[in-house]
Amino acid sequence: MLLVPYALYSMPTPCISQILTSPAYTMTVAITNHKDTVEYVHDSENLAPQARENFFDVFGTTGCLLNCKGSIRQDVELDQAKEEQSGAVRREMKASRAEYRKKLSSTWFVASDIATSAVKGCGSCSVLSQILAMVYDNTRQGQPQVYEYSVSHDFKLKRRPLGEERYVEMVQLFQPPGMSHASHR
Amino acid sequence: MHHTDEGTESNGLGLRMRFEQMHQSNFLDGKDSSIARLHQWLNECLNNHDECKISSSAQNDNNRPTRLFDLTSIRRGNEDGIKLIETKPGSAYKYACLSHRWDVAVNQHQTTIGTTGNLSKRLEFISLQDLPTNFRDAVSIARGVDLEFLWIDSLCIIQDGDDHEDLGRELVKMGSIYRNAQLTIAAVCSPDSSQGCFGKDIKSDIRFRISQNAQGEFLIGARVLEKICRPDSMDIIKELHPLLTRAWVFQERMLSPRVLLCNYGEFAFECLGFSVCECASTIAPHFKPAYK
Repeated sequence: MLLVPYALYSMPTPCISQILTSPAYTMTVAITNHKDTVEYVHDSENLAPQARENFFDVFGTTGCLLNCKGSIRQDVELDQAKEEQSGAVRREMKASRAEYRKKLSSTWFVASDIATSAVKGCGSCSVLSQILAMVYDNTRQGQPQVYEYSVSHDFKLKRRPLGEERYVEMVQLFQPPGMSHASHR
Repeated sequence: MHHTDEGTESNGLGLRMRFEQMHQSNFLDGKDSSIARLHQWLNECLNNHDECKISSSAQNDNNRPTRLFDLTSIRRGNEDGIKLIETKPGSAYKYACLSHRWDVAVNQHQTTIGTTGNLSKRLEFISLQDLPTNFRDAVSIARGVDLEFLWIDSLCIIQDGDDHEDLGRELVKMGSIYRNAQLTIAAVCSPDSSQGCFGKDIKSDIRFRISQNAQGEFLIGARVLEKICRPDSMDIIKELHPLLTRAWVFQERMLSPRVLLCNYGEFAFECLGFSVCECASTIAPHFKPAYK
């Protein structure tokens, strides 16, 4: 079942029908419960090594109007620097990445920005916008249209009332230490 | 195959993946899940840690607490209650201790039920509703790990009305009482007796299942952070861990072979064999020192 993010109901553009028919929403995000995820999750003991993937690579950034493409580039460039084993290059890359992360944390957008990016085809924005909408609906903390959001490099989702710099709510995304990629269908 | 903390075997699929830059953490699912994890840790310690067994001395008539709460549920009308018992010479009891901050409510409570005058009533019935939240939570936790008895200093020792005779007798046993406890429940995040052991403003983690036609399914958690828990100042440390600011409770922690730390947002467990927490991560609400 395709769940409609609560925040999208109140957004002027794009309209809900556009979003639901968008290719971006071949990806669906749904809140699930403890019982349904037991089979996917291990506690932290006895874990086998995990393959590392880039979130933005996995879900795609085509057509992104926000920072998803930049987030891939930063990780890829740093990996390349590690392989080159050049201290100077690594330091430069680290400094560049730190600067980028700072910029990322201070980049704010409204719900319609990320929804538009999803409609344009950005799968990562699609996932994040649905999560943002559901988190704040789930926590019942007010109407979505009067807030702006940011996503940090380590997936802290921040929200603050539009125009208000000091009061920030925060949600940390994380993965369970066990199996998170459940299956290939 | 691997047993999850829910007691179910995983499906053993070989493909596992983690997203770069995304923290890993166990899910924090609230009271029942916390108690279930504690039960696992406690059993692990009791069954496998020889060093923790050595730290406990044998109970005898000189070091056994004179009174304990019997946690067997007693119904009286609509009320759920427990009762105090006087321990018997020659017997050994498996009990938990509560390490907590006293406040005005605890003091008031003592004057109503912690004196010699009402001891006989306490030996019959104490309504759980009449107990402060810290005490009720300690009862739930102890019951949840199958312990039948609980020792709470403020109520198991007669504080008034006997010229402090009981206090004098019991205080000298304090070291043994904590050392012989199966578990000490430390209400770390509670600044007084009313906040309890579970953190009232904590929300359970949200689980997201992301389905993508080409890639399969992914599971991601979201944790709403009311407090960031980076102790940049002594004031924040005091706010998050009010119990640990009390000098008196330092000995309770040091003497106990097994301590449950009811921290802000999650349980942590310490014994001589290991030190673990529920989230197994460094993200909030896990207490993470800020290095400068």
